[in-house]
Amino acid sequence: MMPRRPFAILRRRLSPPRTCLGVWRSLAAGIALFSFEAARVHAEPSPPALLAKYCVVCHGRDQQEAELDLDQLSRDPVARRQDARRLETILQALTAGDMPPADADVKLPQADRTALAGWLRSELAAIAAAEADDPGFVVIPRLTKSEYRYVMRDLSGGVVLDAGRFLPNEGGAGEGFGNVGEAQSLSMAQLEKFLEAGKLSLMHLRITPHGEMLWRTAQREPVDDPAAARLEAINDIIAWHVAMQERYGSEHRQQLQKSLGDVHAAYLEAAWRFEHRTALGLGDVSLATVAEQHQPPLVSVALEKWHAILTADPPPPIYAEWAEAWRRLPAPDAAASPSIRDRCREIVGEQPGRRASKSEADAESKKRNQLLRKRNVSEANKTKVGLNAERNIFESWQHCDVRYLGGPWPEQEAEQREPLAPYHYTRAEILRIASSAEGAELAALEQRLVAVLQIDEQDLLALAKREHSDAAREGVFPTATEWSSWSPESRQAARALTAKIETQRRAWRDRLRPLVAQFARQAWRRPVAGGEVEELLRLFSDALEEGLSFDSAAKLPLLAALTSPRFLYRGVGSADRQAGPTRLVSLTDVQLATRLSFFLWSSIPDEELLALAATGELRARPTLLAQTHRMLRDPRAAALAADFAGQLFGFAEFHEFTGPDEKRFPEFTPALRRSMAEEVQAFFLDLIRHDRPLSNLIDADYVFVNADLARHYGIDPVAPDQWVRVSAPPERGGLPSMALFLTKTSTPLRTSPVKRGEWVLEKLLGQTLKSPPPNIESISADETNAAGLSIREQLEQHRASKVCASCHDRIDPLGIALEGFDPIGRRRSTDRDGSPLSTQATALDGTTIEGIAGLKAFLRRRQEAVYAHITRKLLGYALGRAIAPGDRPLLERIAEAQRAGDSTFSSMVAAIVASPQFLTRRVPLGQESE
Amino acid sequence: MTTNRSPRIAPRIAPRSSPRISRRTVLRGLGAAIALPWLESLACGGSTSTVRSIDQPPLRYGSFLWANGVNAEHWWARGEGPAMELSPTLAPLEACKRDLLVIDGLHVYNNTSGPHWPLFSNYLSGVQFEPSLIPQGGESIDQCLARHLGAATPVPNLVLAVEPAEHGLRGGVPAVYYSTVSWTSKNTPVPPEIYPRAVFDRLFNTAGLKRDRSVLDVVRLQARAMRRQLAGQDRHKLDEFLHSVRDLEKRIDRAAKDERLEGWRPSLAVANLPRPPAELPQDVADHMRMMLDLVVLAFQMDRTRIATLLFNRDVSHMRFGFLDGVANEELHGISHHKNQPDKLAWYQRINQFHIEQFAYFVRRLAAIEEAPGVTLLDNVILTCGSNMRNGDNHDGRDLPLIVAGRGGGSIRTGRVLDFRDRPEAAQRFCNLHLAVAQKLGVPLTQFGDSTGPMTELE
Repeated sequence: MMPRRPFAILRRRLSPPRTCLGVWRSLAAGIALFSFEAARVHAEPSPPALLAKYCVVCHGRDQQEAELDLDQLSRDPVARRQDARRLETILQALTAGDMPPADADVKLPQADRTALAGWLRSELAAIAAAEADDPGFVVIPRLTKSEYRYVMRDLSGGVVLDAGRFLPNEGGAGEGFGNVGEAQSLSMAQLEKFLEAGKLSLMHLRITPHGEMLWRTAQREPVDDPAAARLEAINDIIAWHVAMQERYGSEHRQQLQKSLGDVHAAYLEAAWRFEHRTALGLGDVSLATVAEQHQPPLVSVALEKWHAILTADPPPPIYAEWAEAWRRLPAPDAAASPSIRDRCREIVGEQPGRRASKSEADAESKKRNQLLRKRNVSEANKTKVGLNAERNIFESWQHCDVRYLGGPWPEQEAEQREPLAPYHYTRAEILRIASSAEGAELAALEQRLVAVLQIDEQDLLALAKREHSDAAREGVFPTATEWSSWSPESRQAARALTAKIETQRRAWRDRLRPLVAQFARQAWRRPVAGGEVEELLRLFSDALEEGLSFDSAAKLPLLAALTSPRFLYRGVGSADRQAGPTRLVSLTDVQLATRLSFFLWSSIPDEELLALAATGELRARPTLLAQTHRMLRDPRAAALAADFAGQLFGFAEFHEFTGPDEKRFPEFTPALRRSMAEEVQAFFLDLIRHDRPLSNLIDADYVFVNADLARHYGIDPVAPDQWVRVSAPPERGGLPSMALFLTKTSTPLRTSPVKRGEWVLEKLLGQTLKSPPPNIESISADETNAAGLSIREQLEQHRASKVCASCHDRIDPLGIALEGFDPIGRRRSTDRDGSPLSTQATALDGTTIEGIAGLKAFLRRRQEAVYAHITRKLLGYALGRAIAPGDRPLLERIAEAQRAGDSTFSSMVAAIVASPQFLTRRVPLGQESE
Repeated sequence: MTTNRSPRIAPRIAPRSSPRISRRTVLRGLGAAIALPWLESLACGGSTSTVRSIDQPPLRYGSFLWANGVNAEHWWARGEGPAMELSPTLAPLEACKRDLLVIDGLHVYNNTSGPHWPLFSNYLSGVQFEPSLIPQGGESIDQCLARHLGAATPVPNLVLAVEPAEHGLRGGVPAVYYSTVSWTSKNTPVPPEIYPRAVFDRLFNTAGLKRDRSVLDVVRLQARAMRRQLAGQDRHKLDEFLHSVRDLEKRIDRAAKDERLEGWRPSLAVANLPRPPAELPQDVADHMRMMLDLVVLAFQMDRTRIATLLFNRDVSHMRFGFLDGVANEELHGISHHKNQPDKLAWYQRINQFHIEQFAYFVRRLAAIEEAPGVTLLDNVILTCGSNMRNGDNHDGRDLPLIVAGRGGGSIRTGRVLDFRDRPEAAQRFCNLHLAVAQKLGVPLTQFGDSTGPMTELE
């Protein structure tokens, strides 16, 4: 078929080879917004002419090769100042020798190349000097998906761990991170998602009328209906009773069994000790004291019950034999006492081995076992909580008003049998047994029940129903205007009830106020004014009027706080110098605290930071740096590993990675996938928290493994379910040999030296690769192609093309060095079909790289580039914008320190935190903001 | 109110079952609840607009696409009407071929070839994308339609996807360039929804709307107060926020009301689909099917009239090893087939799979009767296609495209439209968008890089 656009084809043929260093197409003109009033750039007339002569031929008005028009840049100094990024790109392409391309008609003599490069450098230096350490243009950032998660974690005291997981992935901007305010939008659909995320988060919360905020791991359906809220409060009390019955019943027995080897015998012995307390010299002790003094302690009520059973006349039938035997126990004397326990054991048949005479045992033991079983059945029936707990509730109800509990309640049929079950307790008994903390817990639950009963409201509704009011139909609290037409008696009753209700609601609102204020203060990361709290609380009052339950009504102010722009937008922006006159101001302490905590924790400041901000101490350099170091050591710094490193090195989305072919690699289980991700996370967290040198990224003598990964790496097994730091085998240590990266850069069926090479170039060395052109060579899906050529051979063929080679000569060798790892990152020495693999390649600079060791050495020689790349990205991440020319001096200062040997993670962070970029912002003149 | 706009009603084609009506007739019979969309459509100019009466079902718009192109050899259609022949890739549409147009030769003006990113995200906008570290695009046709028509339904529109979006930068540009074709404005890409449950809840969950509304009231006050305290660039963000709050309030009001006083009623009043599970379906085919079912339901119940569904994103990592004979390789890798027979065969099979999904959707619409003798398919305009002809050489010209549905009788289906030999100005994909917008009653005279509405649809 004839090409429809012959010219396009021609252009394609002439188009320059791909350049790895070039960012020709990918640079933003739009964000290079600097003002250069102060810049005095006296350019020689000749270099711009050189630019016109050698570059504009292809990259000009008429022929915008790679959509790059340098025409204006060559003529207009102002345009140059505004497009410093492009100048950098040109400089890079020139110095790397990528431009002009080898097959271009123009040839650039070395002298002109040097002159042009020198001129570009001076232009850039002048721009950088004029802009040095400027905060730059920053737009107020909105919470990202992961920040939302971390913030909710911290707001909930570490309970809610996966908030916001249905928020959309948004991609990055600036230096490649999601936290660039300028690029973040908030459409209606997104706002809805945030509203929804707030609701889902609050499903973990329960607010009680007594001012408790209870966060739970499990989500709970909203209890909007007051009746449902009542039921829930009752269920809580039942749950408390169940827990107590278990704690002092079955759990207690298990405990005794564990420590003494028996249960009942201990009680029989204790009852015996009580009987003979005087003879034993115990004085006039009570049963409770005897129970308490026992080792381990017995339950006093249970001992009382046992004592009653054993001394009853006549004894209850099922315990008759035991009681009789117990009564036959000898009185204490010095010698006999220790054996009483054994005698008791014999009575209850708990220790057959120590029986006095085997002959008499059998028949009796059978009988006893029968009895025992009988009693166990009786107990087991009651352990099903029902009877007991319900009866307990029945009693607790007496504190409230039975009308609204939704009875009828079960008869107290168990009352008579209770004394026969020594380890089951009535409500009164439980209250005697329970510790003071446990008792307080119950009291709180009962108060909560009373509160949610909303008896006055219900009386009022009942009244409205009698008066056939609309309110009754809709379940809405009737208003004064509504009851003005009622009968005088009803009106009077309504007035009285309304007054009581008002008082109650005021009390609730008063209790809720500090909770809402505290929540908003934390969520909004700043002091909250009283008016703001009242604004939120109005939602609560209105919802109560609407007949919503306390819990649901109380959550509305919090939902509003979580949907508020004061929550969703954090920090402040910095004005565009180009847009008008601006003034440089320092961040306030509160703003600084927020910026710092979102930088290092992706979350809200903690109390310590807020307190330092409140007193104005935070900005003092030593305090600021001390806090920085504290925060880096804090577990919350894990966010820096996951968010910064995760986005930078491309492991943040590994759980969404389509992964290797399941049939070919059944070993790649979900557990292994998780382990791979956790290894990288553990490595970075360790690097950050323990402040290790950045060179560990390239090579480290340790790895973090769990059992799965140890097996995967062929390391000695480690204990299951834990992560350990072990010595790295020679081929591991550092990022390039981590299973995650090796897997992520493979195609489903084979390794991809191209993807691996690209990863090393882009993610470690910080070179920006151009998007691949169309018509790229196809590499086979599996390890060999139809002609039987291996991947390496296919790549060699590929590089025989000059156009391809210009990029792939750079890329492929780095990937080939990693061929010693299979598509899921296991060590290997042969292909799948057994043919040996070569991991040796010649890098573009002529050095030979062999295997992972060679690659590590190659990277170590370029470690400055690796550090510079990470520093640059970290600065962009901290500031929420792309790096600007004015950041060069700061980056250079950090690089200087790194060259001098200080290449720890914390020094890099500290330099950024202490930089003017981080500490200041620009505000438009005349616009004073908060 | 829109009544002050001068209505220019001169429909060249009367819809099948609609008598020509005067504006007064319309206003007389118009329930207040749905006045707005109706007047919008009345107000629209252009000879091709379709006038619908209140008793008629509304028109809906759907756009379905997959990235990374097609195996061009097996993408063709010939002939007309019952004699129309479909290529193997298009064969799944055989049963409904009388309801569709196969269109050859369209493109987005500036999309010819090059790297991936400039060729994808402008699929529905026709805007030329700039390399940038901050997303910069332009309003897409689905969002434009939603802006004009979205107020008619509880949900203005849906933007859905099956493949999760990527993070960060890719090839030096924001990764969002690879994961959405919907933009509400120059700087506002719409991240697609991938969770079926979220779609379901958005469409059908009306519980607690009143409370949401009261929460938004407070939020709006806070946003206003906060806006006053901020400087210029941050103020814009708060403006955007406030705008979204207002839109959401309006949407909630509509969803809460959701009553039709008179006129046409949807053929289904209560969702006949269970609420989907919270997590993503493991299986790609299930996931697609679920999304399609949700769009069917949304259209049928008139919860929204505009939907966009991405079967995969650009440079797709999606794999189709579950299809017979297809290697478990990423779609993007397969699309760079270099004419290798095995890859070409897989490529074709995957294209066919996407068409099967679309055909399923079309069949479902055809089975829903909205009025006597009129199906839902008669009342939609759907486009389905890809952003490239050939994924191997990134050829963005001659896009593989299908239009399905009769647009209320305004589209003469069962044909092949071939623009390949026409002047470039007639080959703009945006001409189709423009014609579609006009048929839906949106008063546009120009869209994206359009040169004029595509009249050939009629």
